[in-house]
Amino acid sequence: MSATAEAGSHGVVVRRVLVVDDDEDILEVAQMSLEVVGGWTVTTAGDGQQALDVARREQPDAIVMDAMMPVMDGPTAAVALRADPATAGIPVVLLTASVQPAERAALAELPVAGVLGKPFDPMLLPAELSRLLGWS
Amino acid sequence: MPTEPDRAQVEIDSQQRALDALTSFRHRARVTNLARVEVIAEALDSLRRGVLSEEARLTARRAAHTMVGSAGTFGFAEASRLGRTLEAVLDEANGTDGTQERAQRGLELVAQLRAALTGPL
Repeated sequence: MSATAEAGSHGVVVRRVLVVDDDEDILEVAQMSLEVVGGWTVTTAGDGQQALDVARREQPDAIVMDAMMPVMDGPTAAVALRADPATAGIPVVLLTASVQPAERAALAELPVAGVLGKPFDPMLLPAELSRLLGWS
Repeated sequence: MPTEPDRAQVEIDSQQRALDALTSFRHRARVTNLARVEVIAEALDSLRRGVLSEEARLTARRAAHTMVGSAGTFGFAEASRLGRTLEAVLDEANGTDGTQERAQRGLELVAQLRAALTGPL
């Protein structure tokens, strides 16, 4: 468990997750999913550059980030997060709508905890992330 | 301390709240994705007329890619599938061969996409 995770009123660990996507609909549904279904605390950012700033400030337990975004894309942000000692220990999961094996393999080569496909099922997203992050 | 039945009820309530929220999100996602369809349709019409710029092609390609993830996440599975096919059509639209056929096929897919997004929720 990260040092920032806290035990909630039911004794359940309340994770703090940063969700990053330029699609506001996706951002909102992922936030709802992780908060309501997962019982976690969520902060959001609209691109990779914002994610770097929020991650340094908030020190979340994990970052879930879209691969394709304007300003700074997910792969670039993942590399920058790993290179910064202040954020190097935060696991990153990339979201991608790509089904091309070469593109998926290239994402998996990045310093990330895992890659999740889009579309995703909002009712199952917390469980999928828990599995990837070893939180189960 | 909450009992097991308390915890089970909390979980049931959370699931119901999430499902209710998803229903309202779907309405908005439909509108957002229909706007993306119009961007794609405009690009394909330009392709049909032989005036599609590279910038417009890439914008439409991005719209199709975003729709694949968005539409599927909000339960529009057929729209997501059609969006993926349109991504491929727009990938191939940077050449000069078969432009008319490609544009025609893309516009047919756009018509199906509109229908997939405007059906009952």
